[in-house]
Amino acid sequence: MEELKLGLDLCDGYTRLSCWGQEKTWTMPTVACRKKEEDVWLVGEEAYASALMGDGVIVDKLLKLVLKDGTSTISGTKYRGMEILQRFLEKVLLLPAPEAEGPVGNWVAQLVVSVPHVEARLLDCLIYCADYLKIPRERVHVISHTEAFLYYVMSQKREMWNNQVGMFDLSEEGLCYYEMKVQRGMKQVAVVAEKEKLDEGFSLDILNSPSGMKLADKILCACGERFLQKKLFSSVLLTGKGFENQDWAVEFMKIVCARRRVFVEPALFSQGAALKAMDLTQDKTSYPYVMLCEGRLDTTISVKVLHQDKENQLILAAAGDSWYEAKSTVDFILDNQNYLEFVITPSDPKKKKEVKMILEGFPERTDKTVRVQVQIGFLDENIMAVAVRDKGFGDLYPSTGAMIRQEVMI
Amino acid sequence: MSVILCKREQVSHPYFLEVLGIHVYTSQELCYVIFHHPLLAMEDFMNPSLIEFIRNELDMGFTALKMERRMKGGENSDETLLLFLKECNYYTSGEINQLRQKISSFRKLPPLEYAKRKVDYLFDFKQYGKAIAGYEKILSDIRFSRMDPRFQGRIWNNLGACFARVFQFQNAMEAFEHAYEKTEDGTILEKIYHLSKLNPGLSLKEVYRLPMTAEKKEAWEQDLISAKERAKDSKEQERIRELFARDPIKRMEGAANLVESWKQEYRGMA
Repeated sequence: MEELKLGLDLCDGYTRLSCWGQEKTWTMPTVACRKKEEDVWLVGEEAYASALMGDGVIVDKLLKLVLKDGTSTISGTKYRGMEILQRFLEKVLLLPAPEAEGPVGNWVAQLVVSVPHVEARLLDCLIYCADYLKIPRERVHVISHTEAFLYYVMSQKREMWNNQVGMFDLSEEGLCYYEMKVQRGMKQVAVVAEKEKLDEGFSLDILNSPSGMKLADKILCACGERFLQKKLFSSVLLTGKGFENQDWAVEFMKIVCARRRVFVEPALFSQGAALKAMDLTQDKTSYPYVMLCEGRLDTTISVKVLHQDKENQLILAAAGDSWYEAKSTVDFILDNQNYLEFVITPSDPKKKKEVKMILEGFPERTDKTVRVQVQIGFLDENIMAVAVRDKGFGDLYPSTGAMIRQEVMI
Repeated sequence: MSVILCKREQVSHPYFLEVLGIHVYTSQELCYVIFHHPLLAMEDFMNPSLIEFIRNELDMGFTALKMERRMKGGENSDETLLLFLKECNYYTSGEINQLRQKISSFRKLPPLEYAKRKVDYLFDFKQYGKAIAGYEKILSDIRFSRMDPRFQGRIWNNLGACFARVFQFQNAMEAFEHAYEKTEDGTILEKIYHLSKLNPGLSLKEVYRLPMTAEKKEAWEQDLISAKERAKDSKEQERIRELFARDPIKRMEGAANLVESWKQEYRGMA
């Protein structure tokens, strides 16, 4: 069986799964149900049906449950949120390969999960879920909706993203506006995307009545005018369950479609994720851009190092790297200095700053024999965690065991 | 002030530098040894096993090849050392030039002075057995008798110090006697006195008793007492005291490690 490149859009309300190369997209509510009498799990609509029949206990809002490290007790067994999510994902990932045998990891080439907000706890949990499903860690990536939006747009023809691209996402989770623009003229073309959650969000239930439809159309018209006027857009996208049918949004569609190309793609986030999954299996990326969006660093972290008598910048993490995956371990020799200095360069070079980390308690030798190991990682887009350890200098100067951990605001 | 990036080196078999009694795990350590101990690195240092270490463990195949070719071509071995330093990017060009000048100044030394400097290095690294052999080789050189008596005295003095460190007090006494004969230096007399105190079986010759005035003896005696006091408060003593304050299991484990380290040290000395 050919290994699959999967894109999963995982939200509290719904889950969508796209498989690269397949037209079909699987959509279901993010709920799991365990049968009362046996350890059998059902997901999505089947879960609702079982719960309605009274032979199963349903658990919803799985992401929230995971984020608060909550539990759910079913038939006397206490399940952690993560355990329920594991069962849910196990069932969902089987959908494109119903005849597959063995663990999921056997037939997944890459799995990219798109989530509304990239939070460390959720990311950790998804990685543990992948372990449970025996998917190697290097084959699992978590991205934000904003990044999935970027992948989707950048996979389209150039004229669709030459200028700005706007997108409205209307779902049970709320109403969000996304905007993307391309920044040329730098070493590498940068694409920047931002997301704004709008206070005007409403429940999709109001679309069931004519007056509700009118109100929703009015709300969206106001948003459309606010975001789209006086700007040049190459295209506008509409996504989310709310736009599966646009009959209710007559006036809004008039505003959006004025001199612009408009596309409706309800499964945009899972498709964007699947495009990234495909790209990850290639030797050379089809997206040679610096992508700046939620889930990615917008600053470059470097250290000044001496190489061949010249001072150079050693980049430890670059703008556009996923902050969750950006981890570096390097060894340095400190020549006559008891500190490390990190250069933090945001996209606006004027805001460049240097952060000094004093290595208190470390040996102070002046003969280039202080060797330290520096490990960096990120707790979120704005906080870098640094750990520095004295490695000693072989038999000549054994390690003192000195170590410092520090969090640096970037 | 600067930061130097260390390249990743997955050394599974470190290189043992017998002369210094240390293992080398990284290219930086090797550079350090060459830079700080050029006298040791100048002769027979570059050998096939070191080249293999550079090639396989430090993953510097191209550098190893260049060095090998130079060695086979009979080119200046000092320049081969400097080439390695250059390739490692650990020392700056300025520092490498300093070393080049230092090596060149060593090369200009009279042969026996050069030999002495090399053996002195071995002494500094507690390689007393090798140092004794080195000093004895200088003594047996036909050019030795033509050297300045002060130089001859220094060789005997250093040889005496080596013997004393390995508890060969009789040989040490003879070496110091020769050193005193050549220089009539009061500090050597003091060493002779201390040796006779450390090993009462050694007889102090009449010729040395005469210059040892009561005043001098009293001062030396005082020195001996204060040295013993310092030894009592030394870090090593403190370590042993701490060790014996621990519970029996940890104490035995620590004692075993300590004895092992003493054994290693003694093997290096012999």
